[in-house]
Amino acid sequence: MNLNSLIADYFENKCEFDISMTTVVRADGIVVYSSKDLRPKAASIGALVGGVWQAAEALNTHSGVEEKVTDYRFSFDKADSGIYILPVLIEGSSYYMATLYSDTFNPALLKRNFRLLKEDIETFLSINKVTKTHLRKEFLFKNITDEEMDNLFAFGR
Amino acid sequence: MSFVNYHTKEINCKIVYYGPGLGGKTTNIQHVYQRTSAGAKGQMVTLNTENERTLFFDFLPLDLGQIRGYKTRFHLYTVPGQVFYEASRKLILRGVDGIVFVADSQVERMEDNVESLKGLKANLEAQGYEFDKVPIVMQWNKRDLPNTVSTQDLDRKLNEFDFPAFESTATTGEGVFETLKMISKLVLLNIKSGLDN
Repeated sequence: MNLNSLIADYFENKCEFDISMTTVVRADGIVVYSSKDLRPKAASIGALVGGVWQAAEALNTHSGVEEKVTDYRFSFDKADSGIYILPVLIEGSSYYMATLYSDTFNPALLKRNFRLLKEDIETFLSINKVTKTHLRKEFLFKNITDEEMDNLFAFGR
Repeated sequence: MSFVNYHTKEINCKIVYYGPGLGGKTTNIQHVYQRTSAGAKGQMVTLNTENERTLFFDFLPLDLGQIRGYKTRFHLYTVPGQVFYEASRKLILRGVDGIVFVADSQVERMEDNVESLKGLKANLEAQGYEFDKVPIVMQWNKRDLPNTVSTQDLDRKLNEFDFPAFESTATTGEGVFETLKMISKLVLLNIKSGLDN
C-alpha cells in the first residue's frame, strides 16, 4: 500500500483514539489524510497547517535554540479550544498532524491523547511498511494538446 | 515538488504568484476564484493586514478535471509583495512547481519589478532550483493604465530567458486564465519525479 492508503487504513480501521477534526499533511501542506468533518475544507486547512508550522519553525531559528524540529509541538489555544500540531517523521520525510478542538473540558488530556495517537501511527507505519517506491525519471506527459488543456479548464462559469 | 500518486492517479501541483507589492497577484487569484464553478474550487484563504495587503499568503485550491486518467489538483499561492516580507516569500516558495511573475506595467514600478525578480531568482537558487529550468510565465499586468511601459521593454528588462508572457488587466480578468492555463501546461509537462507505488 502507498502512504495515503496506509494512513487511511490506520484511521478508518485500526485507530482507537478520537480522530474528529484531525488531519495529516505533508510539509508543503498537501493533505494526506483528513477526518470526514474536515474534508470540505481539507485543502485550505492543509495549506494553513503547513504554513503555520513553517512560520513557527522560521521564527524559532531566531531564538538560537538548535533542537530537532521533531521535538517541537505547536499549540494555539485558550482554556477550552484551540489548534494542536505535531510533526511526524515518516520514511525520512516531515509530515504534520493537526487537530482542531472546541468546547473541550480537558484540553491537556486531549493533547496527551493526540501525542499517543502520533506514537501509535509511527508504530503502525514501522510495522506496516509503505510499498517500496522508486523515483520516476521520465516525464509523465511528453506532450499535452491545447484541447486537453481546454478540457482541464472547462470549470469556469 | 509536485506530488503524483500513481496508485490513485492524482497529481498535486503548487503554483506561486510572485511579484512586487500592489502588482495584482491577489487580484489574479480572486478572479480565478470568482470565475470558477463551486465544484472545482475549495475555500480561498487570505491572510491579510488590516489594510488588505497580503500578510503571509493567499491560497486557492483548484480541482481541475482529468488529463489522461490523472485527476489534477492545483494549489495557487500568492506571496506578500512588500519588501519587508522576504522571509514569508522564501517559505511560500518551498516545493514550488511553477511561478507566475506578475509585473506591474506602470513606468514608475519598473524598478520594483526588477528588484522583485532579482529576489525571486535568489530565493529559488537558495532552495536549489535553477532559475531558467523552473516553469515560469511572465504576466504584464495593468495594461489598461495610461502610463505603461511597452511590452517590448518589459520583455527586454525582465524576460531574459524568454519565458512565455501575457498581457493582462487582472481587475477585469483579461489575461488571467490565459496565464494560468499556460503555467499549468508547463508544470504538467515538467512532472517527472513521482513515487510509483
